[in-house]
This record gives sequence, C-alpha cells and structure tokens, in this order.
Amino acid sequence: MHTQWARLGLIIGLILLAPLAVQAGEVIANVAVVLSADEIRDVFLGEKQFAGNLKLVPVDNASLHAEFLSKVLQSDERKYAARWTRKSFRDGLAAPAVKGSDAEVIAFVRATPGAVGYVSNGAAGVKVLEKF
Amino acid sequence: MARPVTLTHLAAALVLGGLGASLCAPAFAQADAERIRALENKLDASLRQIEKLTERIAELERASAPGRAKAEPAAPTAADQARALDTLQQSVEQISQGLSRNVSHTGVPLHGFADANAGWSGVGDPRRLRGFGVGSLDLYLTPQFGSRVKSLMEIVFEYGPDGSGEFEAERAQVGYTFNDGLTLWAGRFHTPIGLWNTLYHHGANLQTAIYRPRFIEFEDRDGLLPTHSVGLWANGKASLDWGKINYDVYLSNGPTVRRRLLDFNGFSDDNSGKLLGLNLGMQPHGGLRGLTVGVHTFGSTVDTRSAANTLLSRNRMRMAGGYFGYDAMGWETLGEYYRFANRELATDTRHTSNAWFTQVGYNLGAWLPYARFEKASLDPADKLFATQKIGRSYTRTSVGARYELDSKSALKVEFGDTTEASATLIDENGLAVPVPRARYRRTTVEYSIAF
Repeated sequence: MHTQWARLGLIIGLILLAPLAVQAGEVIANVAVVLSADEIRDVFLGEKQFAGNLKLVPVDNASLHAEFLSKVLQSDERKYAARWTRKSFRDGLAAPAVKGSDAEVIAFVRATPGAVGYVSNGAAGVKVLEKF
Repeated sequence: MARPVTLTHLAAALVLGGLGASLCAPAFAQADAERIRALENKLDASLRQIEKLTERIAELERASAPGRAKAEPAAPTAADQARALDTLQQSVEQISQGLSRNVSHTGVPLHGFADANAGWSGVGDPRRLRGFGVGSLDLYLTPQFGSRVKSLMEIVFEYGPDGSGEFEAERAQVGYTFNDGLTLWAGRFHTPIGLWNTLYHHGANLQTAIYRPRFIEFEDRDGLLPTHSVGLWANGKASLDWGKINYDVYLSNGPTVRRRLLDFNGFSDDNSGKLLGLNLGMQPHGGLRGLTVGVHTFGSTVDTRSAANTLLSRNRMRMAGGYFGYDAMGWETLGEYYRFANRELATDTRHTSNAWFTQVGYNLGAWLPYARFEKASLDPADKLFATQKIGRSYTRTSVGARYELDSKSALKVEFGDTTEASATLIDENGLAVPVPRARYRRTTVEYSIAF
C-alpha cells in the first residue's frame, strides 16, 4: 500500500513537472542548409551570411522570439535590436524578416533556399537543425 | 542518524515541486494568454475553413455522381481529407505571405539617428556651447541587390558652428560578397581604423558617450585622422576553433590639409600617394567572449596647402597602433592607440607623435555611467599636424552617464575637462602663429534616438 502511494505520487509529480521540461522549439532550415549550433547563432547575429555558396536567409518568428533569444542567443529583445542596428549601420546588412507564426516560418523556410528559422514544432519538408 | 531517501520521499518532493510549479504557472500563463488567444482564434478560423472545405467536397461528389444524389452523403475518405488539408495549408501559406513582414518585399527600409542637445562650455572651447543645439540627422539605407550585391547609402544633415545647415553624402558604397571571408566595397566609406569610427560614426544614439574622442573627430570638425575614405575596401571574417578573426584592407585617395582641415579628397586625389591601410582584429570565444583586440595601420603621402593652394609641405604619414573592446558581464570598455611616424619629404625630417583614449562603462540596468581619458602628444614641429586647427597636444577627461529611455532613445549627460598645450601652429598663409595653453570645461546634455 505504501509503495502504491509512492508510485502515485511519483506519477503526479512527473505530470505536474513535465511542462517545465518541455523544449521551447526547434531551429529549422531549408533542406539544403547544413549548419552547426555555433553557426546558427552566428547566422542570427549577422556574423555568417553564407554556407558554402548558399546565401543564408534567417527569419525570426514573433511568436517564439523571446524564447529563441534567451535559449539560443543568450540575449534579449533590446540587445538583439541594438546589435542589429549596429550591424546594419556598419556592414549594410538587413535584420532578419519577421514572421508571425510557426506556419508562416515553415512556409517561408520550405520555399526559400538558404532560409533558417525556428518554430515550436518542426514540419515535413524542412530540416531540423537543433532543438532548444 | 541520516534517514535513507526512499521512493516515498522522492515522490513527495516531486508532488511538492509540481504543485509549486503549478502555482507559478498562472504567472507564465498570464504572459502567454494573449498568444494563446491568438492561436485559438486561428484554430477556430482553420476549423471553420475545414468545415467549409468538407462541405464543398461533399457537394462536388454529389454533383459528379447523379445516381447517388439522393443517397446518404458518404463519409469523407482519407484522400478527401488529405486534399482538404493541402488546400488549407496552401491557404494558410498565402495568408502568411500577405501578413508577414519581409524586408525584401516591402521596399527598402529607411533607418537613421537624430539628436538634440544643450551645452555650456568655457571661452577656450572651440565650439563655445551656450545653450540649445540640434545635433545631426542621419539617414541611411541598405538596399540589397540579389544575394551577393549590397550597398549602403547614408546622408547626414547637420548645422555648422556658424548656424548654417548642410547635407552631406556621408557614405555611398556598393559591395560584392564572395563569401563570409571577402566582401569587396567600392565608393565612399567610413575608414576602418580602430573600433569607434566604424562602430558609431554619426550614430549619436549608438555611442555611449556624447562626444567622440577629439583626435578622431570628423575631418570637418578638426579631426586629425581621415575618418572617411573614397576608394576600395575589402573586408571579411573567418571562424576558428578559438574564436573569430576579421580584417579590413583599403586603398583610397590620400588626404590633404586645406584651410587648416584634413580633406580626405572625396572627389579626386591631388597626388599619387594613396592611403593604404590594414585593420586586423580577433574575438575569442569561451570565457573571453565579448573581447575584441586588434591592430591597425595606414600610410599615405599628405600635402599641406595654403589658402592660395600653394604647397606648404609634403609629408609621408605613417600610423600604426592597436585597439581593444570588451562588451560582456555588464562592462562596456574600449580603447585605441595610434602612433605616428611622419616624415617631411623635402627636408627628410622625422616626427613621432601618439594619441590614445580609453573609455570604461558599466551597465546598471537602464543606467550606464562611463569615464574616458584621452591624450594626444603631437610633435609641435610636425607640419602635418601644425597646419591643422587643433594640431597640438591635449588631454581630456570626460565623465558621464547614459540612461536608456527605451530601446530606441537615450538621454545622456557628459562633463569634459580639456587642456591644450601651447604650440606654434601654421595658419592658412603658411605663417607661424603662437597659440597659448588653454583649458576649458564643457557640460552637455543630449537626447538621441534611433529609428
């Protein structure tokens, strides 16, 4: 009886804690893109523009932006915006386009060679580069 | 005696932890409530669309099979559902394309900076601040032409000390990117010396302090260095195991001293001595992430000319130095060092001078207090400097604070104390003019925005 209560408690605890352990999302890319974790960071900070001869096209996801900045870039909205202002001013680069939802990002990444984005859950027709 | 940890204890801990997390959940849920509502709305819309599509498919099936028109409508098959979902997906993608912000499809965005200020300074200050002023309005565009061709166009409007306003094409450069290791630019660009000049330049809101270090002021504001160049510029970067390296190599028109100002010869060079420069930097990873260190050098033949355009001297200008920056752990620090080894060609006279600054700031939330010390030790016999308005040694100590009103605007206050050494400068007619030692203080408040 004692063991049964313990098992029940264990199950309830795991169920209650489970949401905290769930990943926030996945970095996805067009099928032709090959990037390491460090390179993903560089792409979204404007430090890496090409993968071989392929022009990389990062795209931000407004619905998952804060989580991505925090977990992948170790940054926040203010620092990210300031960094891109400097990057644009110095190097003539345009900040990543912003999409409003997972569906929009997936559609863009699937259709754009070199595109790299991030979504809550991956989808068919795109490559998952990293989970975060 | 320590009691063993049993499964019961573990379960109890998990339950308590879980309950704690559940109690905290409303806080997170509240933050996500808006997003969830938006998702629910989208889901409702999608379901409505699925229902419509299903009805439409059923209608089409009835229409294509008259014999079964009166029969009970058949349940949609898996193939029907797949087709409906494909249609729905296409529809969502089309809506997405219409709603999303895609820079390349909505024209070229215009960016810029603007600032206004108020300042007070002593009589020795060449700027002699006594009230309110408008800083500069800086507008720039970054049009892209395909995946490899990019450009940067920048126009600045500002008022001069005499109150006259003027527009200036600050940058007009077109670049071709071969890969991350090489972009070749042509046109007018910010000379890649040190860190400050390319990182901040006219972007008042970008820089922590209000004023640039005096010796790297813009040419038309009495600066001693060519902060702009017209010519070719190659730059790039490479990732290594321990960090990154970056380089800049440039070849441009060499400057000339005219009307006691350094003219970077934006239209054409006046002699064959081009400006050739190199900037090599590196940024380590790991525990030193945020650190930048580098070396820089340039050389050119620089003529000094009188108001009547007669040649006063021809000089071989050589600069070599280094720089560092650290932007991590709340610290925002940078410093630059320049050592000059100039030679007057007619007399083969050599002159060495140096100039440097270091600035230290620390982030305290929205506040960023900072301090800067800068010093130029210029050989008074060096005609390259003596023919310029501020071509004499000086020291300046500045302290200030920047307050971030939001991500796009900042309020700054800065106090500076400058001492200029006595020197014998050369005026526009080539005549020696003794200038006494001077000291002045300057207090400035600035409001700046970025857009």
